[in-house]
Amino acid sequence: MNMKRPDHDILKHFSGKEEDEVRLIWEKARRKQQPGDDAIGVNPEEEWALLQKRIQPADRSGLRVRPRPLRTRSSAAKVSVAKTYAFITALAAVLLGGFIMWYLFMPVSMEAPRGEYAGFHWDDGIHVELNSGSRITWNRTFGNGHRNLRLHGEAYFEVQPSGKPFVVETQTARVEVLGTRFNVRSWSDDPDGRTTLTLVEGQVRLASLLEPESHILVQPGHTSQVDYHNTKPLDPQPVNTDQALAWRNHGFYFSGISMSEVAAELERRYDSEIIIQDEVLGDRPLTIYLPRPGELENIIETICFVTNCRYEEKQGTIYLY
Amino acid sequence: MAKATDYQQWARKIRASDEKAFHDLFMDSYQPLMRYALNFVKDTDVAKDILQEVYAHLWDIRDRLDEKKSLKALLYRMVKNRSINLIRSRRPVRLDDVAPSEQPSEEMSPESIRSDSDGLLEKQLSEWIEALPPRQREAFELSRFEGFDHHEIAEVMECAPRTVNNHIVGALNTLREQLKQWKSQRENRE
Repeated sequence: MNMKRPDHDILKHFSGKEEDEVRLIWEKARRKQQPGDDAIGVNPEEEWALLQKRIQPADRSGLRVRPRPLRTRSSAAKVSVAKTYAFITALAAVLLGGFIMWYLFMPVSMEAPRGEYAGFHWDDGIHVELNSGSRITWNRTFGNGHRNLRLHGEAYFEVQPSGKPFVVETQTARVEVLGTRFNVRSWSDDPDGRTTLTLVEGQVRLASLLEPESHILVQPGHTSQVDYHNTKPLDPQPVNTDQALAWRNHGFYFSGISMSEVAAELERRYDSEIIIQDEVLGDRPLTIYLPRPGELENIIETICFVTNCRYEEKQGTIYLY
Repeated sequence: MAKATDYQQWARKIRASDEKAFHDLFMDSYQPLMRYALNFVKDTDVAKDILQEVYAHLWDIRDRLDEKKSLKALLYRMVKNRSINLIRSRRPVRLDDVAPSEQPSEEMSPESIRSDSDGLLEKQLSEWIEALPPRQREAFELSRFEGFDHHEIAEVMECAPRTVNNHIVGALNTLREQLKQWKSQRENRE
């Protein structure tokens, strides 16, 4: 790998003279001297010897996993103080912003708190169900000329045909329908900003917000997806809609979804905290269908059985390793 | 520095409990990881402990290593997560606060500016890099000094490759601006 030259993806953002400057910066860039540099008392050989003492006995006894220090209660308390400050700051910002925007348009929202579900009927034949931790927002002009709303999280919609288009927007996608039943899933903590659409009945038009002109039509029983990388929606795939909509009956269906994403869903549905203490485990894809899951601990047990991991509960937090 | 293919081979051998490969990986990656850990924790002894944890854990989970994923990126992510957890357990911080150390940048005296040499620009650049916003600095350093590609940086920083690109371009723009100012200052003095 040539580190004397910046990546092509980077260089294409700069033209002519700018590019020369970038090349100069790249070539002359140096680290500041710091204690990690060879001179100061860290000898990899010594550290290797130490490490060997740690891993050898464990191997002989057949013990693979050592207990790791867990976060203490006091630190959790401190974090929550920080969260409170962040909350107060955010609240102040929202109040100020809300006052200014009042005359422009007043956003209205409905939310299913973590650990709960919510359902909602509109006058003109729209039915919405929200999964735990999800929110929809719209403004007061809804129904007059447009029927647009914004979704954060996961929701199931039933829309009676009325001639007026109904539009759901997420962080990455726009879903436009006439009359239909469908599910949209788009969590803001997803690093790729994925929006997944599953259609039960009718027909919908799906497009990326980044490239609205390349929209596709999705047929019943199919699913498609948009994210930051795929600005043209993926080719629709057939899907079992009962499984994909398992959440409406408080069930779970994960298909090739990473453990950390599964944990995020469980946290929202059971309003709890789950920490995966192992990066490899967090990346592991999981496929599991639990129509009637029951208690959180049962699900964790099932997942640990499938993925061969262990869990531990401490002060209401579940640790997976 | 080892090539990406070395890391792939090591990952495969370590999965098969090859201690020689584990030793080679350790020797090759220890110093850069140490430097990376010190971005977060500042104390060499603490950084040593974190690295011990990380390598021991890697050995524990060797049978679960995914050959398709970058082992190098995994190591950096493990060091970063443990460093941040440690800092969090000590005092309340937001992720943005896990910033590079704020050492006051030395004022350049007119004499040193006049002694026009490359060494001077390099010294200046290292100061400017240190003062970049944390995410920009991290992306830039991983790309320039550790030889990561954008997908690997995205894995370490847990964001989209497109975002990595934005961070690096942002860093370069900031640095270009400083370079321009610095050059015009020098011209004025002459």
